[in-house]
Amino acid sequence: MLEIEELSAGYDRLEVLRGVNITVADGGSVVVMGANGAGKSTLCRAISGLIECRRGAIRFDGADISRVGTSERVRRGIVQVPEGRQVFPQMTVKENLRLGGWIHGKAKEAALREIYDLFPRLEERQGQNAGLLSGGEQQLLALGRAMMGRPKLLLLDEPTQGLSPVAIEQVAEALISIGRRGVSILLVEQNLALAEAVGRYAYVLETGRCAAEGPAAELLSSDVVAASYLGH
Amino acid sequence: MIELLPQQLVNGLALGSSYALIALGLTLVFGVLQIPNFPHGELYMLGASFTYVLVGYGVNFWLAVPIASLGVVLVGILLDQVGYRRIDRGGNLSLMIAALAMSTVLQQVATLLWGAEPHTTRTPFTGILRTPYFSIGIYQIVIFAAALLCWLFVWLVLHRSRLGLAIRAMAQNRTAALLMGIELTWVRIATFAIGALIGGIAGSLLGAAFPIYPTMGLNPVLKAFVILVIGGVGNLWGAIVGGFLLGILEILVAGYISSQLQDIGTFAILVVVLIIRPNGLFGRAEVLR
Amino acid sequence: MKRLLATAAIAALLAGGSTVQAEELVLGEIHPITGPASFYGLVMSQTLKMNAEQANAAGGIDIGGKKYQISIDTGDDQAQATKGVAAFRKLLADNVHFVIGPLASAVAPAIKPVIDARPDVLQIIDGSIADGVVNGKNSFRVQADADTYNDAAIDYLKSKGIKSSAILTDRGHQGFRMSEQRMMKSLKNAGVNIAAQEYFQMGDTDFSAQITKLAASQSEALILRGYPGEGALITKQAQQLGYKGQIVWEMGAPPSTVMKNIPATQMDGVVNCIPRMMADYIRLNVPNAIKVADAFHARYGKDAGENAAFSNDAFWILTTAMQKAGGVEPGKVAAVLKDLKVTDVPNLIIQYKPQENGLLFKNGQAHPPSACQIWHGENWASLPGDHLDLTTKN
Repeated sequence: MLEIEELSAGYDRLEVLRGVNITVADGGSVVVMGANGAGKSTLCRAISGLIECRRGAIRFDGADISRVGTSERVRRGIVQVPEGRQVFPQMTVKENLRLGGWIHGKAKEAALREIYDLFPRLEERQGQNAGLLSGGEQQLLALGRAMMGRPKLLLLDEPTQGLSPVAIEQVAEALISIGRRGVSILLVEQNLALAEAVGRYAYVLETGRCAAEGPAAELLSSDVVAASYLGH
Repeated sequence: MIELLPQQLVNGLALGSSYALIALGLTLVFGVLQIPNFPHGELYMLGASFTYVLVGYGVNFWLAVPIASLGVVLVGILLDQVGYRRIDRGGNLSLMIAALAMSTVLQQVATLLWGAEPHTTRTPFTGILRTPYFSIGIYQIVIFAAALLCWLFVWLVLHRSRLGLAIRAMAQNRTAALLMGIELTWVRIATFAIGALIGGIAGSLLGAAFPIYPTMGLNPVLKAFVILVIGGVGNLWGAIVGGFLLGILEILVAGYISSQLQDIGTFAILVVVLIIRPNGLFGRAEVLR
Repeated sequence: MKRLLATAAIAALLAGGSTVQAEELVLGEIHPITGPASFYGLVMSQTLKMNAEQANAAGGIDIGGKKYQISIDTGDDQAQATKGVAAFRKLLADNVHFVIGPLASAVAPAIKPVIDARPDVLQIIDGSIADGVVNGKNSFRVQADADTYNDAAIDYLKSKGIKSSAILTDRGHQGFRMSEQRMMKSLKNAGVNIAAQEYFQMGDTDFSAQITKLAASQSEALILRGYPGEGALITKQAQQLGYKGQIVWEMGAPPSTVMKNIPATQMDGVVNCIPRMMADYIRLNVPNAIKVADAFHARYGKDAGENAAFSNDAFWILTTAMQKAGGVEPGKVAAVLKDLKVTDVPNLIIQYKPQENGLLFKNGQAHPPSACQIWHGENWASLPGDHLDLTTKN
């Protein structure tokens, strides 16, 4: 589904990603681990087209999308849950969800229903401003909002950041249930527990390169990961 | 002097509605795109000039207002595409300089086209409403109503339309809005179009009350920036209430303290508001709501 | 190819050498050519250039047996003090010794110190009515002083038996501000009570606070001192707010400008008291005025505007003084100016009141006559009994 080949990207003179290779299979669920500054968020931004791909290629469903705009990538099915949740704080929960389905035109009640079934908490709060939700609720909203875009590939940038253990568990459950619906997942995460719960294949990113890869269960318990975390 | 108060308050509301009308478009563009759009004053001037020219050719005033305003919309979009879009990532200073540069360019073009001599569009209503307590021109009531209608229009667009949802999303969180698949280009065009439309309507209507000349937008746009501070950047209702407040305040200062202090009064309130409520009386970025 | 070029170069040199080289005389001017006041300044500049063209076409001006071709070096002050000083310094850098202008009352006081310090420069002011800008040594003025404006208005109030007046003044107008105290005194002496005194600023659009107060004072007259854009607006708003007294303007206000800003009917009965200007002299059939107006129209395809008269006169006064001095040395020309009689100068439009012994200037100040006019229909009309004595060569 998603093939990243020798991807280089960065900001101004700073090159953050230096030849990254990552593949996500159809219906696959991949975790990218790495210390702060390894380039995890940059990877997400590059996949969504928020920053340009300097070298290498990003292919999605067989087509090269390296030069395609963000909006078109969303339309093709790459939806991102950005780092720090990034809900629209002064809009209601419902408006946030409607924005998630922006590319599909006027939001249908059925689509909203589906999200509310997935996250009943959001339905209770649908008229409230998103900025007033707790961190965990905001994360669920960000997830629900992304699901409104009917993604083929869901890109998550550290969804557990700043959340309580209870909230992390909720996010994990949600991701597992999303994965069951056949949505491919690319999870960028530092939280080992969540990574293990969600990921089936894993990569370790170190200073802009893939330092290791392998089935999640093996790789995440190995010394490589521990070593890469000793850094911070 | 107190017996003049009703009249002075009405004077203040009349002055305030012209301020509010100009501040409305400015606060929208500033709130959504973070662009200090100084040439908003020139869009206002163009609205007035276009209307004057059209009326001069015999077009009915009420037909000339929408035509002129749409003309200003085109200029507004062009302004963004030529002046701001390319330097969007250049930082605030470059935006500011670009804004000032375009103000000057538009003023000079207007001078070349129409000269610097002040002129005024014929007022369609010359009637005066006289009551025991105050008198007010019918046309001033029209402007007052126009300010409220324009506010209502922008509010409806922002809160009751799909486009408005996108504009507000872009204002609140640009990255997240992009990730929703919203295209910045269209939001920019729409925002500038609405901002210019309101600016054009303001100029078109006020050009029948005030003299029109190339630099007529300078002062109003400065006042509008003061109103933005008073009402909160991006706050539509703040622009309206702030406009009325400023108008009434200026009139009261001129009427009860001294007409030599009118402008000082304006900037005194600016400083006071900044000290007491740095985010404006209504808080920042209400356009987001 | 090379030879062809060489031949062409030699031919050009010969051609240049064969024409008689007339002496060139550069006259500087400082006027607002761009910016909000360019409407007033541009016609002044154009009048000077037209006069120079005409003089040059007639073979130049004969000064001390030499024929001078006149060229005009334009300084654009945009009616702003800082720009004015910069423009003036530029003229000095161009080695200009004669300057006509400025128009703006903001600019004249700003360049005065420089003028005072440069006896080798001679200035004739054709616009500003600010106080204290004329020294009578190397700066002269053909425009009236502010008192001439005020006195005309006061004379009018006296003639109508008006006992109380409110005054609304452009607070940015140097001339009007500086002459304020003297005006108050004159009003008091004339038995006119000052009911209220308020201010505005050029570019203001709302005067309702001031007018509400003025209207409440129930004065018999309201004197407006400023520029016609605001004048028209104030007049409109005064009627709206129910002011009933006589409105008296003190401003150069061509009917075309007035009517661009206020419906003619709302102007009916407004009186304007000012030094007589271009349109006045045309209406009163002064031949020189009609001559310049026609030439201006033929040359530029538009009307000359009120201030053209001052610039025209400054040009002829200066060149006549040069002819009398027999040279273009500023000191000598200035000495001649002091002794110049009103009847010495050809082509004058303004019918200056002769000072003692028929002189044009007294302490550097000429005395253009003023008069009041009343708006009627679509134009200013003479008040009953208005008449003009021709004092200059026509």
